[in-house]
Amino acid sequence: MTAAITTPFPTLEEVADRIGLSRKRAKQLAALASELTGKQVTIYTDAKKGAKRSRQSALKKVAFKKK
Amino acid sequence: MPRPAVEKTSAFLNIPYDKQFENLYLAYIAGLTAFGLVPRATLEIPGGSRRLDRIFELIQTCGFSFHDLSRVQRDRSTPKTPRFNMPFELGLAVAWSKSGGRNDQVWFVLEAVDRRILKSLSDLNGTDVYVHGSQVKGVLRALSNALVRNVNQPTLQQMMSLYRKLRRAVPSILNNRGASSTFEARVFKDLVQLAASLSKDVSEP
Repeated sequence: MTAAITTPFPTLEEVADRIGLSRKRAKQLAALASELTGKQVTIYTDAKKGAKRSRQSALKKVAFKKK
Repeated sequence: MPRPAVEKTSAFLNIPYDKQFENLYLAYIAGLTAFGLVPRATLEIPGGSRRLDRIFELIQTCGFSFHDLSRVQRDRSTPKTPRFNMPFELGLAVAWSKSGGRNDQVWFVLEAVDRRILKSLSDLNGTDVYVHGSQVKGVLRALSNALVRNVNQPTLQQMMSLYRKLRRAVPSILNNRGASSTFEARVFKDLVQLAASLSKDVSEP
């Protein structure tokens, strides 16, 4: 049996909220991930800002698909 | 009983919590996050009288569950016993998925040895069991066989790379948390969050 995952990747803010991790610690771990990958990994410590970013990102994806 | 909301990208991880299993534990976290899932485990649940209720609640909220039934041996500490938690939690997940039309919750069974489960848990005859051979690559390959993504399907190489980076970060996380084991709640949460951060390589190429 194979299960298809159709939902988008959760944002890092959503992951932190779901597992009950503080934004401060999530930000430290994003910095560690940046070190390990050599790529910038960002996380918003302000919950509202993160949610706004997530909405904007989703809207951009929809707009891109419509083109 | 009121039904908790299901988080479709949460994956209940039902595995042995011991040092010998640590590499496979990290492989599960790396592999599941590479697929865009958030691993959840009973490690997050504190002990106490309501523990069983909270385990069942956690299972109910997860869209997926992965049950590793490879630890069939007795442990080393006295009194020597096998661990029944894994098959018990599989039973809870199966019962929940079959009750009241909650068949949108998907459960998977994994083992180390091919066909051994036909002896250890013959009730699962006819169920697909994914065999990982107690190997990190085996776990990642089993997850690749069980899951598929239409967009951003992770490759085995990407998952191995994520696993290696997660493995490399373990001493730093243990040190930061003042922990001696990766099977502590705070360390587990850190590993999940770090793996999600590292998986941005997969989800945003």
